[in-house]
Amino acid sequence: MDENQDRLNRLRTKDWWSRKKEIEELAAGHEERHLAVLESWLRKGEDHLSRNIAMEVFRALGSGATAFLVSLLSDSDADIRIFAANLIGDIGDKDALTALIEALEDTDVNVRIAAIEALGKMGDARAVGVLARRLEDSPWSVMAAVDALGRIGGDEARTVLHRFLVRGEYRGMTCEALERAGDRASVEQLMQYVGRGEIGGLALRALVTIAERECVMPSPLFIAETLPVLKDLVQSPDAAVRRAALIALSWAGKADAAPCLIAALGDDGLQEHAINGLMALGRDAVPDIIGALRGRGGQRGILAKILSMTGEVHAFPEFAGDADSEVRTEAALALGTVNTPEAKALLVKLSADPVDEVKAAAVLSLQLMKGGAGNDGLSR
Amino acid sequence: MTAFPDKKTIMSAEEFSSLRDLIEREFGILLRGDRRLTLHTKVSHRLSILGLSTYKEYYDFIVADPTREELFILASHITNNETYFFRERPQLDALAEILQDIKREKQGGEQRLRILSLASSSGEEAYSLNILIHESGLFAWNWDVEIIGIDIDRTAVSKAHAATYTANSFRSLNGDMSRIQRYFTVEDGRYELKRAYAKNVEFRHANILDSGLYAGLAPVDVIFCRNVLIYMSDPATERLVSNFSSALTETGYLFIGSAESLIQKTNLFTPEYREKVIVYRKNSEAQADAGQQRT
Ligand SMILES: C[S@@+](CC[C@H](N)C(=O)[O-])C[C@H]1O[C@@H](n2cnc3c(N)ncnc32)[C@H](O)[C@@H]1O
Repeated sequence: MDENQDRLNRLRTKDWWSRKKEIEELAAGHEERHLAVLESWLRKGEDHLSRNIAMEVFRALGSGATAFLVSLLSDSDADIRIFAANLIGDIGDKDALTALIEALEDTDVNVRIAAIEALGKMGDARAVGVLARRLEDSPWSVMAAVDALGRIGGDEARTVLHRFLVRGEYRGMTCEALERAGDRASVEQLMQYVGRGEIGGLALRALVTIAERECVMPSPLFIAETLPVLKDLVQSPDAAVRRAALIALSWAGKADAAPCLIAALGDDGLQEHAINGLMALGRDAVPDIIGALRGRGGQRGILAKILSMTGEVHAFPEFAGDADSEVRTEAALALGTVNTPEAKALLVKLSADPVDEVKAAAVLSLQLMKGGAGNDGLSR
Repeated sequence: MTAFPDKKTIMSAEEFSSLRDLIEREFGILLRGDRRLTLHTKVSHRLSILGLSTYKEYYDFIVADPTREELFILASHITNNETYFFRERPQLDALAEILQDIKREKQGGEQRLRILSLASSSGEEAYSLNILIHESGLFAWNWDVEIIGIDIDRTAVSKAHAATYTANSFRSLNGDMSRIQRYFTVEDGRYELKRAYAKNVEFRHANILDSGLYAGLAPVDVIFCRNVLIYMSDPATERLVSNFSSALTETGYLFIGSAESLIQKTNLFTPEYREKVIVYRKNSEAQADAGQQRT
């Protein structure tokens, strides 16, 4: 057995970590002389280990292997053509662009799909036109093309995807591709599909992801119109859709979104958006916040803080005896700005609270009352 | 509608990241993403109380404080204190069985049982464990039983000492009043634990990431550290797990929350699958490896 073959054979006995290391060393030496052996291993249909090692080595060789892999795209065995297309995509060498585009005309549908996927991974905008023509191929090719267009991105791919949104049967995938590639214009395009049928949640998710990425907000009119849909989607079993619906609700500026926003305060991943939404509602959220504080629910400290930020300090006497010390602290600070005998009496009581922080807040407020000054500006 | 200042005027990105990094460094707690409004909502009252006007001043105040008191206060406002009696019942049932094994193992040896309730919040978990031990009847005579709860939140630790609760702490009992009345004096919606069931439980105000803490606690038979790892970074989890490993006896048991996992995060512990629950045990091979590397 020659030395090359011997060296490759040794790879078969190694564990994954040492194999990885040896393959890296081998590839660093630009060992193109192994190509013929590797090709024979690719052809070993049942021997998965050989085939996988061959693929690992090809990937490690990178553009050094591109020309050889391109030649395999015209192999008589369709499986070999598929492997070659996959590997070319992984390596991403743009010299293979034309060869991949030619492979889009392969007689075997699976080779065509592999070529489409490889073009997506390569991410070269020159492929957009040919991929757009694949949108009339078999369903699996269409799906692969939509995904590839999303990966390539850019103006031209986006325009194709926007137009393709009309195709109901592929709309879910198209939304996902736009979630990756979309821009401000995509937000407008996606709006019309939010809440429509099963993919309404996907359209919303894509819209919100893009809006966050691009720092834009859909028109208040749109959100107002979709409010009932958003309230439904906020209950979706899909966590990503729930998140998107809540974020959209936080933009709504509508008081009837308040209960959903309050409920989301307890969800670590949604808290920031829920606070944002409630702060944006300001006084419009007050009745619901007070209702929630009167109930037994959680997040009382946060609710009290938001209540105080709305400026609704006159609501606080009711909560000065709350079981939650964070609520009492907030009450103590808020009451300092209410110059009434009742507020003062409550503060005197709170200044003997067992919790240090409540006590400190009450003492501070009593001092402020005496000095006749208001509370400080920024932090309240 | 009231106009609110937007988050950029409330707290700059730099102010946020310096506080976020401080919290992660000291307590292992991660604040993922831009959480400025959340942080502001949770701690702005500290600025008022301390008479500070920016978060930069607040940060400087914390790092200059030699007592580290404000650092702990900051962390305690960020964490979630949610807890209740007999939380995650199947784990407690598993412990009841394990207690029998522990008792058997200790036969003829030192009659001492030590359990840690880490991130104990207001103490419901530690007291539940004590009630369970009491109900088992296994360690009643001449046993030195000690349950130690530890939390960074001073207010929670004081509540735990006071051992007085509201109905909210009993939500998993579904109104099983007989059990409540056996252990609590109920008056005006307040549930006070009878002193007899509190006497071998103690609470400390400390950071469970601090490895120095464990030297004085070892050897420990069982560690409960539930519903806190979910908030922690991977490096912090690694530090914690190594603390647990040094504190536990060779045959000790570790319970973490049922939504948490150590699988692929450490080789110091291996999962042991019991009916419905996973209990972690020390991995003797990893200990041996570590030993060999040291020699
Ligand atoms: C959700 S509670 C868990 C209570 C209880 N273990 C249970 O499962 O019901 C989380 C607690 O972890 C505490 N905590 C978070 N990081 C901590 C740390 N580094 N050291 C000590 N306690 C910590 C918090 O103060 C909070 O009380």
